[in-house]
Amino acid sequence: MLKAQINVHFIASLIIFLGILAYTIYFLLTFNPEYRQRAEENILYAKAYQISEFLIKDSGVPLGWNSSEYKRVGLAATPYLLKKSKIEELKKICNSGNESEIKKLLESFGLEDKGFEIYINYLNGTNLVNCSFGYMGKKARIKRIASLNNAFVEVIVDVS
Amino acid sequence: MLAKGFIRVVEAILLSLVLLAFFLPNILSELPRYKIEDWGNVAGYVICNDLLNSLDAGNYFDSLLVPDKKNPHQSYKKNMEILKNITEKAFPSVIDFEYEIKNVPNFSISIRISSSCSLPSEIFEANYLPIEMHKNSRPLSSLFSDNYSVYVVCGNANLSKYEDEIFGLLSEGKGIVLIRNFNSQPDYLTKELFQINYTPGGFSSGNIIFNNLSNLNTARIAKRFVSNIIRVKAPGGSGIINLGSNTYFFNISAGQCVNISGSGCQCLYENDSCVLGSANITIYRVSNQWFEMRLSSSGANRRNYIFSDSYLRTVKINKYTVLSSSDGTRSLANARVLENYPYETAPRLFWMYDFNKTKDDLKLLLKTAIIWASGEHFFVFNKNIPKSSEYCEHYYYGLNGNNIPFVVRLFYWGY
Repeated sequence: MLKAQINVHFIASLIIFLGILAYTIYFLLTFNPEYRQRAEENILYAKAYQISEFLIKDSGVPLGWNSSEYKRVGLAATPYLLKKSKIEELKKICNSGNESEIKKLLESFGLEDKGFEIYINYLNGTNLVNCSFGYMGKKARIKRIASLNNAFVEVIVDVS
Repeated sequence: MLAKGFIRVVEAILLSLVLLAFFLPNILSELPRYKIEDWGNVAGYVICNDLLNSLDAGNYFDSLLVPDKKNPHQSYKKNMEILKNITEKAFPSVIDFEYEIKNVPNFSISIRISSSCSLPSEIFEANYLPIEMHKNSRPLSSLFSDNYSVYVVCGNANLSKYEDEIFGLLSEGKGIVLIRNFNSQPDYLTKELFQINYTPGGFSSGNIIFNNLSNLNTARIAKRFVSNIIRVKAPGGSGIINLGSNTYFFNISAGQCVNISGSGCQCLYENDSCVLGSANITIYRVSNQWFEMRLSSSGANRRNYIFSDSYLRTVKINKYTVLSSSDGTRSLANARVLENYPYETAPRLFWMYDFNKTKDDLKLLLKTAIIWASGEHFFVFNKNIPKSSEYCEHYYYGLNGNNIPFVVRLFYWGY
């Protein structure tokens, strides 16, 4: 006659087994240095890609933003077609040297505790914008292509 | 009792370790497969897509794929050099690339024509988009033996005799244009390829229209017809325009403008338009010995152009019919894309009745059909694309407002 009861030893065994299994997986995930490094890089790349999307596809907030009044910076007139006047405004922010302005720009991209660089160059190498703020040790770089005044530019975003 | 339980727990721990030893290799092998984006590979795809989108945003293909009409050859070479430079600078220097374009005519089209064809030279002389058309004539028996973009066959040929050669060419994406009337049931291959539904009938004359402009096949040809151009020759500075059922005398003034008698229009310079009957003409280029024009309907729908000619009422309309008698029962031209081939190289077939070769509008229609049948597919730099290459693609609305969508695929390799 079978009893409708679970053996307490079976429960203890199962708990011990699952515990060891969970601990091992946690251990492997946490202490596999390569995996951990790649996961961190992944986050940095995702951030850099997100910023590059704002820059080349978005017009910014508000639409007619300028260096003294903006919620988010975007350089596009329409996606992939950049506006020279907006690039000039970004340049003003970058060259301001004002710490609160720079902090505001970082925050607008959701980069409170990170460093970043933005380069905008014509494909022939002529530099238009050179922005660099914060720690730039290990970094992720995304290069995008867009159009500006019948020419092509590369928009490079580094995040650390 | 306690010792017994304790031993069971020890047993359980031992079993756990055994099971773990068994599963550990599987867990370890799964770890590297856990999805973390390889941004090194993504970088190439991002640049590829950005480049095609930027080319679209700035309408660059409107100038790159449309050579200058005064010196198309040099202009095309220069444009492709610009495209190459842009792409080289966008990608890292170790990356090689190739562009594949579908639905834009190749700059150079080779046309193999059967000796039985007697086609006016204007059909091969000027075009929009400005391209080069190289024609070569051969008897039907050796027509399909060499590699050309499109083959033109005229008269009562039995194509079934060349079935193997024809299917070989079709599998390579080549097109065939057939110009003939049908007095009897055609051979099975002609009937099958060009979808000829023969029915006995006699001659008739009158208006000829595009059959159902909302039909995809008809729209394909009609769009190209209204954006293309035809040259009208003026030996000695004057000549005749044959449009629909009307003829108009004209003379060219100082190689600058075209005076059309009875039109009510001023002397027409480049880009000037004039309504002649139900047709609207727009001058494209003028010289001392010829001028070139676009044709469209003067009605609300510019593609709804009305031709006029004598024709044999022996082919019933079907879903491939692009040109029909005005009563809509007889087909005068069928256009067909063989869909069972890959999209890029799907062969195109066009049949047209044996029309009056003095009619400028019908000449323009045949020219348009030949270019369409050439496949409108090419690789810009003719490079060998390795199997390891990656690609991105982008759909464009058309060139300079012609509303003919085209696809550009950018291959890249070397990452």
